Amino acid sequence: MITWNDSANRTITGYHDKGKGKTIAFDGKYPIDLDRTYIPFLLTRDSYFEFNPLNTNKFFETKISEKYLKSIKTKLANILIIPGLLIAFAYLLKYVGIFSQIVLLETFLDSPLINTFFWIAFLGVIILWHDYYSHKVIFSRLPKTVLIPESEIEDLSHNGIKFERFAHVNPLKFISSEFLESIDYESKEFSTLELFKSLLQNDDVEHLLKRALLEIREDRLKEWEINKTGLPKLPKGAYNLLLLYTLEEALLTNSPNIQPLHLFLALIKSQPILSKLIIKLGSSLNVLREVTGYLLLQKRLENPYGFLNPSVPYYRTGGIAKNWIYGYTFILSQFSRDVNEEVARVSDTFGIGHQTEIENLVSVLGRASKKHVLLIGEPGVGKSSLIKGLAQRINRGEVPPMLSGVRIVQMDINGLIAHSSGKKNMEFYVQKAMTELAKAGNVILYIDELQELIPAKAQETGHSIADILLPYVTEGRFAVVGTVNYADYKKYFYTNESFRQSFSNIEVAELPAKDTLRILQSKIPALEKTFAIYITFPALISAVELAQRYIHTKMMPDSASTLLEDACSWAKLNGINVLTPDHLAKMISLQTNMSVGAISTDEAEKLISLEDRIKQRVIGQDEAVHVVSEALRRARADIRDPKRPIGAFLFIGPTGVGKTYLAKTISQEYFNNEEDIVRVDMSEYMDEQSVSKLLGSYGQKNADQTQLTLLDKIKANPYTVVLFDEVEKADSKILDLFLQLFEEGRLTSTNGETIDFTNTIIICTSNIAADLMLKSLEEGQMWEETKNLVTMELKQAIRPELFNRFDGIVMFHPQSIENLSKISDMQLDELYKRLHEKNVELDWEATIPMMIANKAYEPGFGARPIRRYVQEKIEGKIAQEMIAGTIKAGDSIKINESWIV
Amino acid sequence: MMAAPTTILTNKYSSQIFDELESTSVYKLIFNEVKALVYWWYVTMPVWYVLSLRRILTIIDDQYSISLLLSHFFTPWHRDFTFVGYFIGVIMKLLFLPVGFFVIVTTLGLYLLFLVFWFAIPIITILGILFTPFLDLIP
Repeated sequence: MITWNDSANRTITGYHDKGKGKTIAFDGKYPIDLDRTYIPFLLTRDSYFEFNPLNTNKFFETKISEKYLKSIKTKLANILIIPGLLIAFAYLLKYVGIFSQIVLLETFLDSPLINTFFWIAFLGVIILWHDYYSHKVIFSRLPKTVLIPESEIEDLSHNGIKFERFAHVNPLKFISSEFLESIDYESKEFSTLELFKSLLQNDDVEHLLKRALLEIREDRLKEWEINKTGLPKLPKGAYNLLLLYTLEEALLTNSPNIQPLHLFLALIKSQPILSKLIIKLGSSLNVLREVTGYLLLQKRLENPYGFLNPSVPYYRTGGIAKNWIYGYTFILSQFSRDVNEEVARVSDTFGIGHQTEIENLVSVLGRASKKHVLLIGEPGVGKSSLIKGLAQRINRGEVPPMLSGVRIVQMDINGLIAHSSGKKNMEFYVQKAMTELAKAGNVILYIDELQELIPAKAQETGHSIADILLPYVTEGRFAVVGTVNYADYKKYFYTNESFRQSFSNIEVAELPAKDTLRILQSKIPALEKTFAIYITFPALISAVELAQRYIHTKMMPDSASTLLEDACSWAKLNGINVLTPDHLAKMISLQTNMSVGAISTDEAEKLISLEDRIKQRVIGQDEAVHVVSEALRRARADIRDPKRPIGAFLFIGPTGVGKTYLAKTISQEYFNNEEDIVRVDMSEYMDEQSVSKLLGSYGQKNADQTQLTLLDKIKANPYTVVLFDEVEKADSKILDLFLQLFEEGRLTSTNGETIDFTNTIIICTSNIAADLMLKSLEEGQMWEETKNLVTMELKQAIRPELFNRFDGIVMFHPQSIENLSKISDMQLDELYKRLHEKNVELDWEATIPMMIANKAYEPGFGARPIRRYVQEKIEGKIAQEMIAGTIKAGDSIKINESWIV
Repeated sequence: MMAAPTTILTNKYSSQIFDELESTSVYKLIFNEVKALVYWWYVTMPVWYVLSLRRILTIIDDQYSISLLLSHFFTPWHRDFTFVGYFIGVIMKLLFLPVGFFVIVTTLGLYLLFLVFWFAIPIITILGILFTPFLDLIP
């Protein structure tokens, strides 16, 4: 989940009772009216903003007068400009000589009065010019807010505000003209309802609502009972407090000034009815703040001044002579990509959330020697983005002098191999490229997946380039940045002393959800352009949360970013124009075969009737079906623990009672695939050495593995049912692994690779106490008594820590003859369906299933003999006759009692 | 409701923080409007023009590699550390740098002209209004 803690402890609001010399904080409350003697204030770490009602009133009074004056001024200027333009045009014609024959007109144009009028009209142009552009070029901006340290908050609460410690800032200076246009400050009181309605008409607010996927329209307000009672009229003094909250929103969204959007947010947070509405519509103030921040940033970047806009960063390219002072890289250029050039061509921001790692990288690369860096992190954590982030910093000139003008060049090893014919030829190219590199003087070599150069790994993949390239890399004549994941680092680097000495390690951790969201935000413009689709903010949040929850094969941000792109592509193919969280959930459902997202009415009905539907397939195991159905409903309602498997069950019962069949039914109901279950026969894991079958052998190379381990299967498909058959037969070491599996939802292979099981349903089956169950059936013992006896036996056979980690111990009844009759009926039904497909109709008397049950019944074997019996006695008979031609398409057959006897 | 406070916010040096721009007097408002226009024309916009000039000069400097070539004036041509490399390096830079300087000087010249024109516009307008009726009186 995304933790929205950005707004916490960045601002403090309250009021100053000057009479008593006290300052009191609002403490998360938003009063809308205050005694006029109290002065509301806002405090950031460094600044103090005061909202003296006198000043606010005076400010608005001045604005009212200014407004009138401005309207008169603008009208006058507009009136003047039309004759002014005509005169200017006439001057032009006169200059060309058209009026030379018309003396009167020439005299008129030469008259001082007309000349004066022309200059007055020109002054009108200047005034209009000023009016139009004056609010577009603003240098003063609100200060940036940072976290107020806990110690300072403590100090404030004990000792009050030391006013001289803060910069006193006049908040009224930061009110934008758009803000003033959006409010009615002329009336003596203001209606919060009217203000809300007028804000709904504001273009920026409309964008905000559209991006936040909130359909708040004026005509729907009645539907939510938003009226004069909920949003009352307030005295004009209340504007003062509303302004305070508006300023707070402007500061929290990192805005340069106070905009109508901030007023909208302030109104929502200060009016309980609006706060509740936003939550009811599935959004929150935090989400709206995030969208506001995004919209304001986009507005700044889309400034019409283009390349002259100081808000838009300029990326240096080095210019036409950049290569003159550095060495040639003709050969190297053929097998490499210039990362600096690549990032200069795109407007994306790279390295978001990796500022610390970039700074570490800069400090290592800035050294005089030992400049090699190894970025260690799981795939998808943003190692490449980090390199690109560094390239952007170099392009912007935001690096120390020793790195200025440096190029990061990514070597394309495969390209080099493909281009070279034979090892000698390759040696020649590598030697040339490396000589160029060493001589160039401004190149950092970037090698993605550096483990490819390690001889041991190179042997596996067959890269003969490794032994040629490696000496140059270790020699240290140029800086090298390599990336590697943890498993490969442990396998190839950790044991290699010389490598460990040559490289400085920088660990790249998985990004938190909030930073991933920022990265996705930066991708919006490009994705919207590519897919011609409107991406809503809740869709981005869903992408992050769903990726975090369901995609564990990749790390954040890659998992979320890929999911978002897949959803955009899917939406485009399906003619969807606006991407919403439902589309992301649909995408995850398609990728995982699981139902994800909001539960539709149809699906809700299906979930409610889940038990009945399973009971139709699994006969006589109502209790087991109930336990499993409850667990599946919990999982679908998304209230399960996301760090554990969806469910872990122990199915107990004699053979043939439907344990495996129920597991398949679960797979069908939850993953929409009955057959795709991973089945592990635990009788093959009876000794200690068999751990390697599950986790892989230590040091075993991938290429040597001919058999897929359990972990390989789960890695390939992490959304599945895992069935551990006859679990009691496994060695205790194997059962120890189950503790980690059930508690943490993951297993670690011997190679250090972590495999995620949080999207699996784990089912262990056991025949423990099967005899006891059968005996109870024969002796007509009460089921509850039997269950107690079985539980006691189970506790002796399975260690308590494992026993307690199962979500459900499901005991299967031995099948009674009545249940076996129902199962016979089901078997016949299936046979009917198969024959029907061949245009052969099958019919049987109601007594037939019971006859089959009686005939096939073998104590202790459950339903299995039934299938065998139906196959032998009925299917066999029909097959014989079909081959002989006695039964043909279009025929009807009735099961004869003699077939069974 | 208590009486409105009479003091307004002061900083630690006891000077008023809020300036005198806020007023409802018509004369004061007109004065403020004129003041705002003059301030915008002669302070805000020139500052913005200087900032944009800085951006333009950065672009020219980057595209013509001027500071790069100056800082590496004696670095040999493509780091060929021979006499020929040094010689060609210096010659090429001597040939190319004037082109970059010419572009900079031309841009600065044009910008200066524009700024002069910008500063002159209001003055010419006011002079036009004030003195055109009396032009005939000038012998």
